Amino acid sequence: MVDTLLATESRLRATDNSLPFLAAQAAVELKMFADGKRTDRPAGVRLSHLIRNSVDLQEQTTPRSLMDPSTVSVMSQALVDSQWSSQKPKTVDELAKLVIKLANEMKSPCHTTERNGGLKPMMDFCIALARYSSAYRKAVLSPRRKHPYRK
Amino acid sequence: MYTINYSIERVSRVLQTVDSLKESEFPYKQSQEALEDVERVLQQTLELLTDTHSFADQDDFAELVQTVCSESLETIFNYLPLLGFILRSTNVRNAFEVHGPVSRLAQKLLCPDTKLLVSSEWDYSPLAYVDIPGMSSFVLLGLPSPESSNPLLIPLAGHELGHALWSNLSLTNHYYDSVTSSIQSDIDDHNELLELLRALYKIPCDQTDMWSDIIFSSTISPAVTWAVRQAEETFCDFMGLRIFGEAFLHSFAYLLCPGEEYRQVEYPNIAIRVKNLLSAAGKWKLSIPAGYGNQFLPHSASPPFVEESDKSQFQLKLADEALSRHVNDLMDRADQYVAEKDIALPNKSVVSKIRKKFDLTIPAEDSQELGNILNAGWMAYLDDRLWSNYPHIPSDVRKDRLRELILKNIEILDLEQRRLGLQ
Repeated sequence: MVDTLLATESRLRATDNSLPFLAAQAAVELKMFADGKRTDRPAGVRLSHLIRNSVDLQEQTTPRSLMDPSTVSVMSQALVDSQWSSQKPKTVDELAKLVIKLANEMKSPCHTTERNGGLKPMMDFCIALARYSSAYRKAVLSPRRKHPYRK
Repeated sequence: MYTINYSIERVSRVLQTVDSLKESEFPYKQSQEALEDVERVLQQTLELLTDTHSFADQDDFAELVQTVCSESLETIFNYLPLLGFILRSTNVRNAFEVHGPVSRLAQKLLCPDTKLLVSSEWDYSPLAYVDIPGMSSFVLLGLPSPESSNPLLIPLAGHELGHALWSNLSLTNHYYDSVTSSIQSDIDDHNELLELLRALYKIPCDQTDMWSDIIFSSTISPAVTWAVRQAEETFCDFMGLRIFGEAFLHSFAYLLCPGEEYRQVEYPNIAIRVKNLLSAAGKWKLSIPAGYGNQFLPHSASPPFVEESDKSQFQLKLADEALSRHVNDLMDRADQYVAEKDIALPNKSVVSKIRKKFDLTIPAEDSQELGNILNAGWMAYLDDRLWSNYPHIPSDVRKDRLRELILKNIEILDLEQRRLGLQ
């Protein structure tokens, strides 16, 4: 059982303590990438990986969301706010489809440059994700537990 | 530009503080290594701010600049308390004797390179900082300062190490899925819950495939988050109980009974926590102290901090119900991990041998495990006749002397374990 659980891949989690910082890092990397000041984007790749793992594509004709309700809420708000996509998802399945697209484009942002009018929408998504995930964790936990790593 | 400049200066000044802390004398090398890890995280934050500074004058990116600055402030909020913890780990108030045996337990339970820091904290609740970005090999274990040299409370470390194990095993992912399904089924099966949810969140009644709807499915997110947190706390209680046996029950009661009226949503209410512990104690054939449950409040009040109390009551009810469906699974999981990690459980005959030595006011050799010493210690502590035939130990100092004796016994265990490790 231990080995099976250890093998579980990391997923995007709205309550993940490190998510807001990671999303902010990914946004700065995109800006530096767009300005030609850097070519590597470790935070963006990591974030893309987490987002990708939040959807199950195996043996499914349509992607199945593995996101918990709080992550569904934070992701949909971040997507709508950032206007990364013109489509506003209403169902979890629609969100899952968008999330797959988002993860792919975040992994290889050069493909999105012309189609989406630059990297700004992706950057805006990262900013919105940082803000919403940070706010969610603070809103839902009791005052004594505000320190994110304290148990 | 002020925001970014202030942010850079703030982080730089915290880094200067780290530099000055490095000059302190540390009783064990882990404190020094923890400082170096925090320094790396702060350097990384400073690098992010420096990158951000290069475009901070571009109006189109003002929001990005603010977000990065806000996150850098959050980094300071999160890591400055850790610096204080590291500094306090040097305080002579701490029982340094326990560091070796508890470290070895943590390494066996988690992984061989686990580093433990123990400190006395100004918060009357044992705490652990775990799963800290940039410090993943560290477990920071804090005990309330008035009790930080009290070895009788070491069993509570079993609960705190449980948090690190929970994180190591990614149990959060597993329980998020399971708890979400459980809450959804609960609502599907009980029409009154569905009606209440629709009324509270003003959701139209014509929903068909309701869980596929983003707005509808999001309504239960606090309940899911709270239930998963409660599951983690329950698992940690079971870990402490499994590793330390009856001594955990005593230390739990010493620090928590009768409980407080304030209900923290991340914990089951105190009556349920005690009920779960006693249920596990029964299953694992531990001796339950007489009248144990009566030491605690029969219930805890609801959280007063949430403004929308009807909604929070509803969410808490869903979370509590979801937890109750997972208690047996959590109990079995704790039992299984302790067995898989080959953690020795308290041994009655060894406990009895140590207890007899304590009667003679001397520490025992070959105690084998920390749990044996702590169970013998609690038996002696609860014995009103302890040392009553020793007039040179007045009754008002007996408990202090006992605590010193237990610490001495732990020191001997530490030496024995080190010797075994060298062989």
